[in-house]
Amino acid sequence: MFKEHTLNTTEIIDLIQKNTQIEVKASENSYDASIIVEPKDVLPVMKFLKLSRDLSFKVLSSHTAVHDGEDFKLFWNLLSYEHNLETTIESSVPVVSPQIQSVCKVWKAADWLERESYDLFGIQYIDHPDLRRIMLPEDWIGFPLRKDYQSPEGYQDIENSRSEIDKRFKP
Amino acid sequence: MKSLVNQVDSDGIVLTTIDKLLNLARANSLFYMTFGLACCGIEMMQTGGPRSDFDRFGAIPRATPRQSDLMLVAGTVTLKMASRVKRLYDQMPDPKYVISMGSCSNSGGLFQGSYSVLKGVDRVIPVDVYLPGCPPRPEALLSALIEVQNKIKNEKYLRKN
Amino acid sequence: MLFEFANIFVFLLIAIGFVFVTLVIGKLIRPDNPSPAKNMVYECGEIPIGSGIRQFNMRFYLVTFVFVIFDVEIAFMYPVTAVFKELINSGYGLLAFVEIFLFVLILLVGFVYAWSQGGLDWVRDQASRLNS
Repeated sequence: MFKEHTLNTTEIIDLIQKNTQIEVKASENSYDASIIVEPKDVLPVMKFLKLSRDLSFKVLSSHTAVHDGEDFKLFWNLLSYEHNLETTIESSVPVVSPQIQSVCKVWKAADWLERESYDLFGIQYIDHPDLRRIMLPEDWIGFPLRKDYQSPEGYQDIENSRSEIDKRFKP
Repeated sequence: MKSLVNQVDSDGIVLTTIDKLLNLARANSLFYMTFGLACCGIEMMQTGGPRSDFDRFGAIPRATPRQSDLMLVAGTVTLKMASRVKRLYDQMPDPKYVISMGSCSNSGGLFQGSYSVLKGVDRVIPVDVYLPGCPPRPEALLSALIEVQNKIKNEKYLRKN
Repeated sequence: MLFEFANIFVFLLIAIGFVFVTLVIGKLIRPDNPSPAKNMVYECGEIPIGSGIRQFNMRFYLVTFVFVIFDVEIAFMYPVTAVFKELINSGYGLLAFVEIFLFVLILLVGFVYAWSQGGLDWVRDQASRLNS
């Protein structure tokens, strides 16, 4: 089963463009090559990546986001055990309206991963079955991993402001 | 039948002796509630192990607040956990004592800049002994327990405070 | 003869007296300040939802019974297997084997019955439950 030659990123991109006629491109970051997909194309590309015989990325190993200036960058790490492949899909949504299609229908594993990035970044996943906070309390205000987030002075009736020593500390 | 705790006025030799006896009994049977929240919890288990042997001080781990009279808050207390810590402390029978184990529990420690971490467990429950360290060694936890025992031995129990 | 029962009687008195005295001392020297939080049901710090007294599905008991029966079976079989070689040497090998075989057979018949009646199906629809 093990093949010496595995597809590289450009070959995967060629396969996507040939089969789905969707424009995708490789990231300029050569350190860890990823495939950049427009947010509206994410769901069809993901479906192709999973169902294609040549790729069959059946495992979504991780999904996360980064707050980068005006955008949220979203990353999906995919694994294909059958063809000994791994790749990263990248997309970006604007911070002002962070909306993207959920990939829960493609991978069940995306459910909690998407809930996590909703919890911490406030990204709205369209058609997600159960978009609630997963780690923070249900009544938490704000999305903590955004760059403009201010730490709360307390939670419910617990006072949690910074101590005097902490305030005097200048890094 | 009324409880005699902190009711008796006299400071006579009989009562001081009875107090000493009761405090001796309480100090040497501190059942602690296992509250391992993070890496300090591992060190707490280690302290219960054969090498440092917590049990020789009469400290036995209990997994329920109903049977325990010492709470060992070992680890980072998040805001979500803080209300649970408070509730579990309330559910412990009096008299109760708290050891705040490790920097995280004392002040938030390494994580006090985080949005979700409580900056010191003393913001929700009263703490008797603060134990510094990240995490403290088992010997340090033993000495914290001895501090609690000393505190108990010097308390007035039946006499009025 | 009858007088020796007085020993038991004295023991009984001491036991009852011990319980009574310790409870009274405990009542006297313990602090007593209940609060709503302290009287709450202990649920690992969570606020309990609903009542603790509610109906459980009978299937839990059924599966537990089947488990306990086979647990007991192992507990009975193990000592026999441990001394089986000695039993053979002393000539009781066949007897012990037949005894254990009958024992397992009876349990197995019950197990097959429970299985055939759907006792081990975790999810059963309403219709088949009415039929069985």
